[in-house]
Amino acid sequence: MEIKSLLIENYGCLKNFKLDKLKRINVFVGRNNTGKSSVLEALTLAYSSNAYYYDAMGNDLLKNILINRKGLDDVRSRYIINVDADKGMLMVKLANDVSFKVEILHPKITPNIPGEISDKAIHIIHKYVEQRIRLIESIRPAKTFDGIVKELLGKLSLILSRFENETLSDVCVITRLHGENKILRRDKRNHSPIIFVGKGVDVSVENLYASLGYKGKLVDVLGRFGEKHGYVKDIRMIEGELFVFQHGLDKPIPLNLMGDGFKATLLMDFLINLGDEIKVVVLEEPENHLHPGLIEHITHEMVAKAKNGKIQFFISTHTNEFLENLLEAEAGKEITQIIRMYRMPNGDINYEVLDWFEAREELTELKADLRGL
Amino acid sequence: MSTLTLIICEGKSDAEFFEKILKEKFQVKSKIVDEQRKAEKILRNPTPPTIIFSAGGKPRVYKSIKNLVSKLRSEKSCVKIGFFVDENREKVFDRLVSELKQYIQQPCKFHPVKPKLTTSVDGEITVKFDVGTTITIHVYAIPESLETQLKRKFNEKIEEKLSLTLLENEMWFKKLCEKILEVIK
Repeated sequence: MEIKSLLIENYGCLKNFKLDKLKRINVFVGRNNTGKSSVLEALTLAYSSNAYYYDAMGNDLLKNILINRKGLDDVRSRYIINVDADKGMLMVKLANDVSFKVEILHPKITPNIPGEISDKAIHIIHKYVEQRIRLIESIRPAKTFDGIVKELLGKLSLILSRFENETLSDVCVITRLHGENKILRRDKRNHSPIIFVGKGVDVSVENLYASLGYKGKLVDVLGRFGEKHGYVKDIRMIEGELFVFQHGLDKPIPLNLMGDGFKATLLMDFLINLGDEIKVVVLEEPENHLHPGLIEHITHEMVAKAKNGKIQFFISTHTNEFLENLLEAEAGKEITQIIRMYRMPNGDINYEVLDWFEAREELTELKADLRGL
Repeated sequence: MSTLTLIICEGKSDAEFFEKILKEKFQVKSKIVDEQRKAEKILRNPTPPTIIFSAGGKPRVYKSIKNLVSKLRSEKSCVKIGFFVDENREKVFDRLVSELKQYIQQPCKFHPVKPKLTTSVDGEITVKFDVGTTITIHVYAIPESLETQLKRKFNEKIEEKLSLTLLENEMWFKKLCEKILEVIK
């Protein structure tokens, strides 16, 4: 199901970010630290929340995007930088008026207390959570037991008040037990038709290969890949590892030993040909390691897939070549938009949206830099 | 606060004429560019020189200035733009104000906060961002094409070595220099 709009509050550097009328190809540009990655992460978390934050290939997005960067202690500083805010909110609205919403709550419990007291306090939430709801929360020890209870009651009432109006899957809490970060109530594993290729998430080419094989698409995809890369004879899985057979070489080369550009192209080709399992593809700087010819190839493939309504793309890029190739394809004129992001001197994020015609005019007629100053 | 200075004009010969004025009359170094992306590249420098950007025709000069106003929103420095077009003054001013207002009001161009646009009687347009830069656009319209004015004066094709002293008594030239001074001061 296509994402129609996106609303983000207090996530990363984004205090209040709203994008309506999303298209099938949405490209985010702008200087570093303007929130491009945060937008991609936020929409990925919100979209996958309906499936317990697992992507189409079973990768744990919550763990990889939100937690594992530098440990949970980093979450507060990295994701809710607005110190006045005690929660972040991510929401996507889909074409059928369904919306997925995630709240990331951060109770302001600060100083240290003995572990056993904090564990009891956490147990209150845990018990409640197991009965009623999934929660994401970073619990920090408080000074006194009373203090903890007060904080928790405040938090529970917040959760309860939301519980009345929202579905159970809207909220989730991560808590801390014995110094370890635990995600409560994530026992149910599901797959969301989304793939995020970016920092923190390694999408396995082997898994994609296996899925294509299972769906009977592998021969076709590899055939077309071989046409584009004349030296590639075949790619086969041998004992769980992929090997590339090349013309003129007697022995195959393990995929892991091939160049980064080759692996990136293969990943992209596999991803966009997988079919119904993937509806939304989120890519951080997909042009990395790619020769211009390969950039042209993947952009045209993207336009073709988006045009026939199979996949919606959200992409960040710093490369003009990528944008030029994307805007070259006339087929993309109704389905492509560029979102240019700015960080204002006070840290607020400002942005503008350019449709295909505006972006192309800027690029070809004005000969301006679409990526901004 | 530092200031970014940009002169936007229609054509290459106009740009060369402005460069000459800046150099000979005001001893200001400048850089001529004929593509917007080149101007943008220079503007990324922490202390860019005065840029003279020849947009390549009337339609483009209006499109470029809107685009640049949009892109300059997150600048910390003040921005001063000299906008020099061969056209009737009121027509230029009204058209530019109208196009900028329309551009700013588009819902998808400045999100979530829009800048404020104000004008002054002496041909200044100010675009002020609450938390960003203030862009002041000094508009100057040359009643006839600059090239025609110069041709008339010298009764020949413009040459690179034209002397500005021959223009000192021309009213349009005096006003032009006053306007340039407002931009670079």
